[in-house]
Amino acid sequence: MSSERHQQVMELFDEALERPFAERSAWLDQRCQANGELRQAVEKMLVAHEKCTPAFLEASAWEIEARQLAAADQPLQPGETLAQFTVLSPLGAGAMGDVYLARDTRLDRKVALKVLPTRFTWDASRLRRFEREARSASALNHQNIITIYDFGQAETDSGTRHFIAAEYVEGITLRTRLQDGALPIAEALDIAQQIAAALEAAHAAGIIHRDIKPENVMLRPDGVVKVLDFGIAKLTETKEPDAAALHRSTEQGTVIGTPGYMSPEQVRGQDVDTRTDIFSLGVVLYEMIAGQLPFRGATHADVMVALLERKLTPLGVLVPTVSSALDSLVTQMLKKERQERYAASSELPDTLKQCRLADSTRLRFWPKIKARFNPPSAKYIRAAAWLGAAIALTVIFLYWKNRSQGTLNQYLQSEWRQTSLQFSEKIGGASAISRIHFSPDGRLIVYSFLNDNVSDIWIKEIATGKTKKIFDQAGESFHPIWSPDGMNVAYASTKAGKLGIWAALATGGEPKLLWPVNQKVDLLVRWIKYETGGKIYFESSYNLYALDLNNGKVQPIKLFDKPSSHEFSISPDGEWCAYVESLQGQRHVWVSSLTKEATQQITFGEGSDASPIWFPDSKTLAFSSVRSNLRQTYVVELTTHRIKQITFGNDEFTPAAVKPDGSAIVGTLDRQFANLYSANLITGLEEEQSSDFGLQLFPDLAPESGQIAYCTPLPIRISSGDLFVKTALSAARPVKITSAALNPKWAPNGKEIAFLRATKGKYQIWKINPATQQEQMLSEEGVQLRGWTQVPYNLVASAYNWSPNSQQIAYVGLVEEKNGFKQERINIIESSDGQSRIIPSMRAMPGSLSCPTWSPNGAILAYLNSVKSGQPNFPLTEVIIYEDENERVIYQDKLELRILGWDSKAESLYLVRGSVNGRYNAPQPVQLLRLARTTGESYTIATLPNTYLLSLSLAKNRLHTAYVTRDEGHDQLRVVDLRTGRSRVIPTASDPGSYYSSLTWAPKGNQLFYSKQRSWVEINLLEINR
Amino acid sequence: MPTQPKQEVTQLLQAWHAGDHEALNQLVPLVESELRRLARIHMRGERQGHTLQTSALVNEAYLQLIDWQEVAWQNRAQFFAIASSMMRRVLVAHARQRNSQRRGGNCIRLSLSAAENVSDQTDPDVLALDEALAELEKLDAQRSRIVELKFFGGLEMKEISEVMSIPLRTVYREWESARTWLFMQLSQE
Repeated sequence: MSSERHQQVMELFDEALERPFAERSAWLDQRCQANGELRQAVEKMLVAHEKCTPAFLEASAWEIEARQLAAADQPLQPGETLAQFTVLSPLGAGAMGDVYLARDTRLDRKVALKVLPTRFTWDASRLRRFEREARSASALNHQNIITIYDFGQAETDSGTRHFIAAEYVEGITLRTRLQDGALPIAEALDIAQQIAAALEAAHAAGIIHRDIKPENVMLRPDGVVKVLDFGIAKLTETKEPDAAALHRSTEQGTVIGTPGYMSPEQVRGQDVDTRTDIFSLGVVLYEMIAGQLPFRGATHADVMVALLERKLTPLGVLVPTVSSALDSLVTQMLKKERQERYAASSELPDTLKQCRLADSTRLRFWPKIKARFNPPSAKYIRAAAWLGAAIALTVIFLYWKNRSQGTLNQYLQSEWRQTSLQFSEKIGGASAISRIHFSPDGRLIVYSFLNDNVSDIWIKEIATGKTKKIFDQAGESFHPIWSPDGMNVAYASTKAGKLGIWAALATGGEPKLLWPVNQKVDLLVRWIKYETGGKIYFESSYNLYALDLNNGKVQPIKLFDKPSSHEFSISPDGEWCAYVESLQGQRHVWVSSLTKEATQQITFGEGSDASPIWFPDSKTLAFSSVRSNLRQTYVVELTTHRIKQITFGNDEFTPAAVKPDGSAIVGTLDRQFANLYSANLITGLEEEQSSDFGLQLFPDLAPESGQIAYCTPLPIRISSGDLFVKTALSAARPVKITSAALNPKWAPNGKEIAFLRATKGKYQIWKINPATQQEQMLSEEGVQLRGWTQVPYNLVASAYNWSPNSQQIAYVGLVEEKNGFKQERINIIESSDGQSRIIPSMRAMPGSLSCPTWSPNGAILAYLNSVKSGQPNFPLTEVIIYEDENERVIYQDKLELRILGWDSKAESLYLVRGSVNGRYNAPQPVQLLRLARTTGESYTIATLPNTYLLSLSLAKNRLHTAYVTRDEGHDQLRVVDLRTGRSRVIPTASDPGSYYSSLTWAPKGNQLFYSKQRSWVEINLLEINR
Repeated sequence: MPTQPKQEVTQLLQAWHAGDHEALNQLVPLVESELRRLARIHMRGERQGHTLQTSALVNEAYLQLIDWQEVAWQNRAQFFAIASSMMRRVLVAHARQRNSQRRGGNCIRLSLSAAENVSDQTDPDVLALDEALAELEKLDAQRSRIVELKFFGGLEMKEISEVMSIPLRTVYREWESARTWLFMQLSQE
């Protein structure tokens, strides 16, 4: 191209750029006339311009060269020395440095010498953090963690070089092993299990690897796996809590970790925790078995997008021979959202081991059972795919297959609808109605009804709703079942102080003792009439037995090693038993033959299955399960493996029995409301603050603004509700600021709210700014929350508290020791940076800690330590004061204590004292104590009768305490003056079904906020919609 | 009497301007030490989540390298014009030396499409850009000069406008077309 032509093209391009995009084509037509070549050249430039990012040539050559220089380190040559190490040969090169086989000339041993890239060692504090982490991992002395001998630095021609000398492991990396393709499942599981063991130990010590990948896993010829490079990613870490991180990471390339093995949170530049390692291990496990990465892409950017967005192809799709348990485990490990991810590092090695054992047993066991069971067909796997990996069936009984050929299952074909039978009495507590059974003619139901802790047996006529209590006799009666002819009801009873199985006519009459029990009867399951005579199946200590009514002999039917509730259910034909089995934290439905040695798992995947019940055909089951968020009811046909979800609402229906004609399922709903109220302590006026359907619990008032924060969990999962903020005493709409939150507490400066968030059985402290809704995890380690009572809703003990200056939070930390033993300690965390400070404990007897309570000036911390032990003088609760970096016990008590708070001068501590005997929600006499900080001398301010121990709440002026009593079946709010010990009643409307809980004070002390709860159980029918 | 580095650089620059080509080779190690210092700044800057302004970085480099008392040129603009051309040579020489020292002597030439690396920016290779810029020089003296001043000299648009005595708007326009042209050349590889 000539210079003139070039100038022409450039000028046209310059001009074209200044025109609107849409006009450019017409403008070019006009300017270039018939000169197609010219036009083409300009268009080519315009296309290039679209692709050319603004960043191109933005950095000067100086910057590029400086950066290249920073990145380029000279390799060491054999014979070269670095400190006392002589390089023998290169072992490998990686982003995090070159590794050499070297000889330690002082100790005359071979070491693996890793020389860190200069660009990662400028920052001394970062280097120290890495060193600390790597050293502490090494110090764990774990068989699967590489031992680090030395950290050091030495001068070379190209400047100071930092290095790590580590144990030299003869063997190959997992990367090398993978170059030959996928591994046998058993080998992959063995390697994964060893990596998991390394992670378990590291996580327990608070160390996160951050860069688990095949390059960092060494395989020794003897089969031992060593994990390398703990904490090395700390060298390159950038903390980017904002959303700009993703943009940054792809645009400017500061993402750390290895694409493909990174967790989504690493891609996003968020803080990492132990779940990051679990994700990366999930990727490695997937790759070992499938021979390919779960999230792939042509470029690093594509990989990162896939990590964040693409749906996982389940392992089982690529490798059909993997067990469902393994498939679902890998899926759990690879969940994009940390909250949903498998998080139990401590259980992972065992879980993987079980997968491995199950795999090998299956392989050995398969030919033997093949005669009785059909293996799963590929067709079935696809058929079940509509439920995702959630529920899968594998093997079927030939028995059912033969019986069902050519027939359609009406229960699966049908649409189901829910109808309410009745509202039961307003009664406290969940599951007060249980063990419902239909009479053989389907006209009546019988059930246990628990009221005031006494269980009776009730019969209800479906058509009329008429209810009567039968067998009104001294002692309690439980778990009724029908006789096969429907004439009698059998039940367990403690009549005359002796437990036995009794039977009585359904119409009334004198019960007769069927069998005096000399073993515990937990539950009657079913009465079956065989040709040879009747049998009553019952559960005792989690095992299934049958009582032969001919001879009174008891025969064990199914015995289990582990104590766990099995919810046995016997098929109407008396041939099969369905039950629930817990494994690895999941509950699944199993079916077992009563006569033959045949047992099969029916449901798989992640979920909590419950209450399997039989349809009249003895080949279809209904069960309930929590597969996504809520408990729903499913029907599964054992012949075809087809599964159908039949409830879809938010009700959490618990199925109890199928009507003998198969047209309906009876079950219960636990109904609970808990709405926020306020009571004006001067006028006595009670005002509704929030009356949305459902639960609104654990309110907390902001110090100045009058904003109220509260949680709205579902009844069965209090640990995880939405967090709302609303202006109190106003008609303002509540604003949801986050989810999965519990126990919110405003910072004393009113700017932030701390809350607890549960992730796989572990609570962590988070904080959120209600204005920006930006949230941040503060405590990586677990927080020990003592749980809560449900009727009424109160936390058993406070687990954390803000310091008065809003800078710190003291909490009960839960540290899982290597041996699985969990230890508690009081931690103080800086709210701004999440740095933990641990109170050095002088406790000789580890106990349960609670109620960390700051003095008003923030200088002193009080907390409780409950020591339980078999020795005399125990259990014992101690009040401990932490002051001037010293801990001292100022008071001990054999009864249960709670700290209410300090007086305004921190001279004394207000305590609550009571005797709970295992029931925190039972009203009892409660003592209000004042304890002198210096002498530990105690003074009883008042004894409060019929009081809920957990209800007491200290006013912000530290002069009053509010509490709840239950008098004559009514909950009552009261306030006691701490100076005089005198109480007064706050007049509020209360009925026997109402409970007051989670009391909290308004800053000014003239208003009390609380949750007012109503609860009852409802019997519902699910009916086939005809 | 040992010369101060600043004096040395300035003298070498003047010698090079006067036609002493050997002066360039002597400049390289001096510039290299300054680059090392910049590299440290760069690494720290990157960690803190922001990169230094290019012009600030380069201006600082000049300040470190050149004894302004000794600069005999009429004005700063003229100096930059000459220095940019010189720095281009030094930087290209540095890049070439760096590449030859790399492991196995392999020169890794980053074409733009292959530049997607997690920890690398989409930087053009300095050598490749120098070659493409030489092509542009043959066709388009003004645009190639703008690129030289900006990319190698680290000058800001306003300074380029002053040095070349052309309107600022033209600098922006022609920088954009020159940049696009170079991008096209480099991505054709």
